[in-house]
Amino acid sequence: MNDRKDDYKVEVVRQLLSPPAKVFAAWRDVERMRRWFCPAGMSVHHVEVDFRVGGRYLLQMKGDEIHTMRGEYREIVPDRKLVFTWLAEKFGFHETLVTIELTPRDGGTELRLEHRYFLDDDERARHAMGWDACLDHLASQIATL
Amino acid sequence: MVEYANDARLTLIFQALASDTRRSMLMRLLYGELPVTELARPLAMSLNAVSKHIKVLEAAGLVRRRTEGVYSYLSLNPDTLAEAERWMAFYRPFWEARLDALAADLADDEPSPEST
Repeated sequence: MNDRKDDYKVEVVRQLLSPPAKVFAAWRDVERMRRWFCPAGMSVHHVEVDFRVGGRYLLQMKGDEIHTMRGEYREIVPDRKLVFTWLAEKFGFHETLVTIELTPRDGGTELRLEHRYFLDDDERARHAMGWDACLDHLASQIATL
Repeated sequence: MVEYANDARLTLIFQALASDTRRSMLMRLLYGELPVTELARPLAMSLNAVSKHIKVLEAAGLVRRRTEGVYSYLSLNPDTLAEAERWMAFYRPFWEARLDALAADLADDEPSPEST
């Protein structure tokens, strides 16, 4: 894949044998994620997933040290698209963006993953809106208690 | 040069790059140092506006300024973009491996015989 210097993004494409619904479930269901997400020599130390737009996740992997990743889901199109921010302790919790797109292909799935280092002004603005919506929702929940 | 905490510095970098104008300036500087006036020439904006963009790039540590008399020259600061490159060097193999593992996990789960 072509990682151009000025783009600072990683793009990976995979042809998977399973249909999109199964692939999507692997990204959504915590117990499935535990099975494939950890690099060799590491184990899932802690994982929390609030799988909805504006919901957050926390992932800690344990190897020699504990690696922490966290982020927020921006877009969820079931069986088709998943967009979330990715903040890794290893890189000072700098906010990056992961986009996963699933396309049905010959009974299986083409998975395209893009991980971008730099976010546009638009994406920053949307993030702010996401948080506002989150807080509004939280406020309304508290009000009904 | 002031040393920022890693997180704050990276935020400055990403803010600096969240602009087509600033990105295009950086791309031109990839080929080497340029006088500020030369950098401003193709841009349809006032020198004042250009100056503001340059200040953002300087604050992020992406460019360095050199003055010779009345002239200012800008060049890329390679160390800062090296950070982004370090990130890429980590995440390319990371995702390659993760998706390989996903493919293997999904294949294990399929009821039909796995083709090698």
